[in-house]
Amino acid sequence: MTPKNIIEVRDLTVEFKKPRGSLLAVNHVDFDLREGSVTALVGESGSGKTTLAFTMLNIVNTTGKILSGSVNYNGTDVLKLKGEQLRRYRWKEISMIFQSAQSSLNPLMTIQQHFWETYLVHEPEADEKKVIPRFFRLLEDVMLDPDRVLKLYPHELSGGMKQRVMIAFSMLLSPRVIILDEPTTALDVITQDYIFSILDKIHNETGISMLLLTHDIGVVAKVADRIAVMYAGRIVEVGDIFTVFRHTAHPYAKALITTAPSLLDTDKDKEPIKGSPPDLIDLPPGCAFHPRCPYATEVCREKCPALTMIGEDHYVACHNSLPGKGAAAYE
Amino acid sequence: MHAIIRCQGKGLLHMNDDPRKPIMSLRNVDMYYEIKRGLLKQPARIGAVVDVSLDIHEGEVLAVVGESGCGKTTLGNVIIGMLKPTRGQILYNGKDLSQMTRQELKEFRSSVQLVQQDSYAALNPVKTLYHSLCGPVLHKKLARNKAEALKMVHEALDMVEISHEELDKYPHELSGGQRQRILMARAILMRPKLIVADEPVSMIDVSLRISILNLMAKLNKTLNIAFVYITHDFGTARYIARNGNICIMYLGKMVEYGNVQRVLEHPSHPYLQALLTAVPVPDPEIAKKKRNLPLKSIEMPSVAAPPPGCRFHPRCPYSVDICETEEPVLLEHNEGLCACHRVKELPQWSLRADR
Repeated sequence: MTPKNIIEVRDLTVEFKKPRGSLLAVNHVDFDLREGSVTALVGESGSGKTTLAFTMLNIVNTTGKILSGSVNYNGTDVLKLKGEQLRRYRWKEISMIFQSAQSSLNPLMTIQQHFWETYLVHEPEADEKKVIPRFFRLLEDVMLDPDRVLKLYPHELSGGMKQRVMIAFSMLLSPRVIILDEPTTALDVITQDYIFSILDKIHNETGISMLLLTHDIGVVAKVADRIAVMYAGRIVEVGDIFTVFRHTAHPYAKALITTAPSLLDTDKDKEPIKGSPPDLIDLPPGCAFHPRCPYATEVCREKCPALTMIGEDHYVACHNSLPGKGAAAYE
Repeated sequence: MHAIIRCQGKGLLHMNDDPRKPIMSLRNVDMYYEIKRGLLKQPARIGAVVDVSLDIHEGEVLAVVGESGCGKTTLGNVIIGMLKPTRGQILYNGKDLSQMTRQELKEFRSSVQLVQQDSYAALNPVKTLYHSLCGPVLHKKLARNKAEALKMVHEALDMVEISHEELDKYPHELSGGQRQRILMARAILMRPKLIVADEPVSMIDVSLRISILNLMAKLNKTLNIAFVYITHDFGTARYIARNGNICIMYLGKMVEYGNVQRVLEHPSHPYLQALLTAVPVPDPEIAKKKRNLPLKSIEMPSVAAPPPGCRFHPRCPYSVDICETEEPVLLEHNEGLCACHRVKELPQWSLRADR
């Protein structure tokens, strides 16, 4: 049985024009979001993960331009949607929790006003009295006391509570996909753990698909069932979480996973990745990672590797881990 | 010489037989902030650091770990002498900071350096790195002339592995990792005995974090500089302070202290046990195991109105009557220090038990 994809991104390229030249934040990317999965999109700042997520909602900033590609959601190309259609698609089909979600709330509105305003825009005939029980249920799902919280203004909530309100808020129109951009970066570990247990519960109960953008490998290991690693605007490795962690095939992904300091490591020196992230306006030719890669060969300097299948649900873009050689190339 | 920790007036505790002498000691240090609430109202007093005593030894790496609002950054600022504590003593080489002469204070300020979290904000954006690095050397008269200062700067740059050409650049022309190295270079130029590093890697790309931590380890080893590493991240704390000590803070108080490996493998304080349960481990087979947080409530009380008795009691699953009324003191337990009334009766907890 082939798993169903709820979102299929094909050959997507997003360009930002800068005074120094053009910057490809997303560079010919193919990406599938499996229905019902929790997929983590991992990469450093500037790797293009937020831009890729933005295209799924068709909200790329005005300086950015989508040069090529399509984003397929249930047979419709999201990038072709306009006006009313696009507005209905957002939030109702896919909702997003933005980075620093805590400042996404309007300081002059109570939580109830937030919920009601959004609901009314999508369901103009709605009756406020009738939908309030729904607001209650959503807030109860994120372990908040609706009686109290609905009446409060954002500044009266703690960071963790605001994030939980945002999760409830994003579920308001029962979307089928939710995109979470660094949902817990500003939060403490205990709150983070709690937020993820709530998300896990929502995922189990509703089967909603989730796309989690993060750079924290620990969070990925805990929450995701699939992982996609981005580097310099391209996806370099995708696959099932256990496969990718156990048989990491791309040298960058490998370094990212093995150099993450772990609470359980006792006394090991870690070898850092040499060099620093590339200048996106002036990318190295060939594979963008080759100047930092310990395994780079001649071909890496000339040709950009394509994403190739190397195992069941495991794809990698690296010249030196082609089928046959596989992940063992680095052992 | 025995390293000594004084525990809230309850006598001296011989912590361990660390042969190194403490270069810095805090004795019952309080740091209260006063927040004005209008003309007639009494100002609110917020205890960011309450009754903290600890020793920092020569060449030691001490990790100070806690959640936001626990007072770890304030503690760092007290250690470097930027904040004057509202109570208690700070001793540098056995000498009280408040009794120091102008000259001694000057020496102290060179010997104890700070490396901040935000490397961009820490460097003057309109000065080249040459000015940012040579300036302090000339000002402190560590070099007789510019040529000598430049030579010192070059040596420091070699140490932090930055090429000499970068000196003519402005801070915005460097990457975050490079800027953090420049901050390290600026700190070591003062020939410090101690560097307080406040979340030095939390704003740096993940692929560069290890290299900055390795650099700190190198400076620690080759120049015998002690480090106070302030962080909320247990992974990096364990990595950098693997042979050193760790101090866990909660709402302004130190709740546990001891050797990093021992404290993290067998934490005694219920708060630390809960915190460690919540830390995600970068290994899916371990991280995906369901573990319940040993906590009654996830909401952290306000520092402005800490709960009476043990500050952790409203969230602690083991709290009893005494915890609500009496504040526990740091006592020796399991070769470290722990502030918990019930520490001896708590069930055994091990980092790996259910992983």
